[in-house]
Amino acid sequence: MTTTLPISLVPLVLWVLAATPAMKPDQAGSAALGDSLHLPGKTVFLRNGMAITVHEDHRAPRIVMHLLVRAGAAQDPQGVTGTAHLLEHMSFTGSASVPAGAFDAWLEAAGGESNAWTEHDYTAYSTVFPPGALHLALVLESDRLATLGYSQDPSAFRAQRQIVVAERSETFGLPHGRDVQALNAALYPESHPYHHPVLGWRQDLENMSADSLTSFWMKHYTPASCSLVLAGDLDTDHALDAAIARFGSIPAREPAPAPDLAPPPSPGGQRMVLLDNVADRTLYLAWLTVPRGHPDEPALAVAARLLTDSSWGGLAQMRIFRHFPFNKVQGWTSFRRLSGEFVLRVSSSGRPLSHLLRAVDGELERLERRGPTQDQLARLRAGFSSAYLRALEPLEDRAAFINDCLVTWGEPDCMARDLERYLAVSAQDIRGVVGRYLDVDSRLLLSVVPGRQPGAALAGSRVLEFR
Amino acid sequence: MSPESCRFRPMSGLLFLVACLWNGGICTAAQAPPFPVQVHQDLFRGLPEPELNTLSGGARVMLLARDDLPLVHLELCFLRDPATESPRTRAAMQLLRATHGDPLNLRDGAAVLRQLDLLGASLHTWLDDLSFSFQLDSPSWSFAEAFALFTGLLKQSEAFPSALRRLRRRALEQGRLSLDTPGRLLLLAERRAVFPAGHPLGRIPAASDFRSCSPSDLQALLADLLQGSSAWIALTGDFHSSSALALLESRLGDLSGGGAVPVIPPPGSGGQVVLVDHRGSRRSRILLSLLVEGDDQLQRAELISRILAADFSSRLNRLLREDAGLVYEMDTHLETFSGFSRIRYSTSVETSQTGEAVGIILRELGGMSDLGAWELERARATMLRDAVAPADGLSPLAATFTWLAARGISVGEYNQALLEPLPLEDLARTASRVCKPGNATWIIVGDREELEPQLEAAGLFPTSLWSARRAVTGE
Repeated sequence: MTTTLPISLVPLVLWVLAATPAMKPDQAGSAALGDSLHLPGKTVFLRNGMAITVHEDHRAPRIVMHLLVRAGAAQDPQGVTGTAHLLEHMSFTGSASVPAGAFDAWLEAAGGESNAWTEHDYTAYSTVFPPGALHLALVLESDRLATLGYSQDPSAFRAQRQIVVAERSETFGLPHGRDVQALNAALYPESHPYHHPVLGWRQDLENMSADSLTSFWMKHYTPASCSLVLAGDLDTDHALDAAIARFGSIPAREPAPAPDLAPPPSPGGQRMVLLDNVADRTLYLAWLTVPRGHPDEPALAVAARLLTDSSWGGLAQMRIFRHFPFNKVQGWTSFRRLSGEFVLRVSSSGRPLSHLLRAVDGELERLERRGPTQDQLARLRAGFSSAYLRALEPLEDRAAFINDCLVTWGEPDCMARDLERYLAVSAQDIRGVVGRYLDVDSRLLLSVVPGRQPGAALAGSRVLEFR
Repeated sequence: MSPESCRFRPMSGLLFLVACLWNGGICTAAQAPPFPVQVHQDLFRGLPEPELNTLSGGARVMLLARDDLPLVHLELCFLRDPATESPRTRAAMQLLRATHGDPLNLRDGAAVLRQLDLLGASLHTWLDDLSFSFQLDSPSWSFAEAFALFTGLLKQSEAFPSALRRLRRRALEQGRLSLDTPGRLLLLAERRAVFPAGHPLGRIPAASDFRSCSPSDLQALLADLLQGSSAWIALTGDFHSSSALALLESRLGDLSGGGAVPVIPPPGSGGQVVLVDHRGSRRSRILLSLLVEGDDQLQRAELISRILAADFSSRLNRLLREDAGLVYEMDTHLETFSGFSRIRYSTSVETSQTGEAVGIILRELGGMSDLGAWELERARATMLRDAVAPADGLSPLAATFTWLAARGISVGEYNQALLEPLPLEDLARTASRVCKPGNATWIIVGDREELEPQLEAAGLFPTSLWSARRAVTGE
């Protein structure tokens, strides 16, 4: 599963920014870096349990409001998958004081815009607007948080469900558009909350009623499940007072406990094949690893980078210098509340997937046996430092980072501390995690091949049905 | 990586700039808020104006110093003249671009890249219809060193045949994969339909151009690109202007020669409806391309683009998405040249619902002469919103500066154009002209057998039927 901008800083720094690291900055650089990696702000916890943080940034006449709800697809009821995501869509269709169609119309007329994302662990709402629209933005956000569950319009529900069906069809209909979801479904057993796609199974969507959304909202959209960040061209005290006035009056409700499960079983060397409308052959190697915040998280993320960095990762070097015909080499890590994944992806037009597997296994073995070179580590460290700095530029990211810090570490200003975890990774740590987590017996091998070439899959692969 | 599931796909990538600039909307009276909402023109400070300088060889420099973060971004943009470029040159350019700013692929840059890594710096490239750019990001404490490494690499001229072979293979492979990628088919077909092969923007390289591209082509391309009078340098971030200018002069002051900024002629009129047959496709892709001409078209094109599509309450997003649930998103994308712009609306829909979607789009195009004051104000508000967005980041700011320079627009003119009063009737007249059928080029990619009767029932009659191969290769 791809971890993404709103919640997970680490993959953002690793993969979204193509910065490449190296040694720690010199002394002057170190001082500048240390001073810069702070997001000063003021956080208050309301009596109803909601957290509100304000961060001033006057670079441009903009404000970002980032609302993080600690409920996502992992909380979808059994047989009603896609509930959290459809509720996110419905949240823009009106609430007690905001008629249908008005949320976007009012906000956009004031020079604002809004978007939202659903993941398994959370749902994030991001609104950008000029300083003069602060009051309007707070009215819109607080009204839907307070009253959304009571205002589900049947025609809006039908339209939004259709939009999600279109979204699903569009996403999964692209070449390789189903790969990651299928991989996820294969990695986690059916009983696990990460097994189903965020968009839901199609049959569940078609059978879903508006009542299930109301029920989800009542159970999970409680003030205590929410953390709001206001960042940008504002005055801290004024913005905080205004936000408290709007959100403080929402009655407290007991949040439903988040699922707390035993770690999922290892996929145990399974081989599967997804037959799809693709032109090339792709092999995924996937392992279950550790949840967000685990001490091994940085070393695993660094290992993925060491293997697949586009210019000097082990597999990329093989592609460039040894003419091994990988079309593509990718790797990523994802760390979520209950579990994490480590994924390598290689593809080729004509070379058998068994050859690709041998090449990857060779690199993994090399990394475990020898570890990274000092040069690679130096590049990584310098890259992390500058990537963390660059990640502070977009205002939207600043607001999301603050919420990520609050959720993960319980403090709004954690960037410097998070970076330190990455800079401290040693060659021994990397060899250790490769040996502990990335072994042959506990991985899943997923071949994705053209539907008319089932024989192109790795031998012994079982067909994976994913609709 | 993108968010697993979001309400609306965020625009990204190349067009971050254009995407940041162009969006849209409609509000009926019933949707007007119960309190006055002002368009915050007073809060629109505009893009900050950079300090302008010229290096001794002729390269123009735009400096904007800002010390909120210890970072520096350099945008070295070379304006091109598409009228003088052959398809083979375009192939060479795409190969150069395929390096993704990683000169390791083409030149003996491994050692330099390693040093850039160690400095925490990164290098990228950017290619569009008018320019080729190099982008260097660095912490401010190591910028001078990173800049010296980058410029040293830039002026080398060796290209490795083995690397070129590898890039050629990749380019050809991508061309082959395009046949199975409806989104790619849509864009290629639109480019071929709007810009005929003789137009400067219509020279699409064929597989043979990639095959025949040699190291000397790449060297010639670089020699052509690196000219003083076609170079625009935007430097943003944490630096002192005087020392930065001296640094630029010392490394790039010798860039000289070159011609005037080219002016691209507008393409011919529209009126084409091209159906690209993609048999068995369960979804159709629709692209509608509209031409906006005139020296003062910057603001008008943007407002028309925004009123019809983009933001959630734009006409087409409201009707096709929010009301009917037919599409996940309706995109609009505006390309601006000197004297004309091209608006492209695109979406994807279930094959069986294509006629219904096309019917709604046709009806809205016909109704564009009937604009509401609220619609105009809303579109203007979103335009100003997106115009200030680049001020958050050093890279978006620098890219905006060079994007404007490539179109012969100063930052001051741009700020003024966005705020210039535009009477509703005036915009309605332009919208009516722009949205008339004879100015529109339609591309539909999908299953021909299922689509033809639906399109005709909706009132859209294909003028050309293309195979996927025709869209990709032109043959």
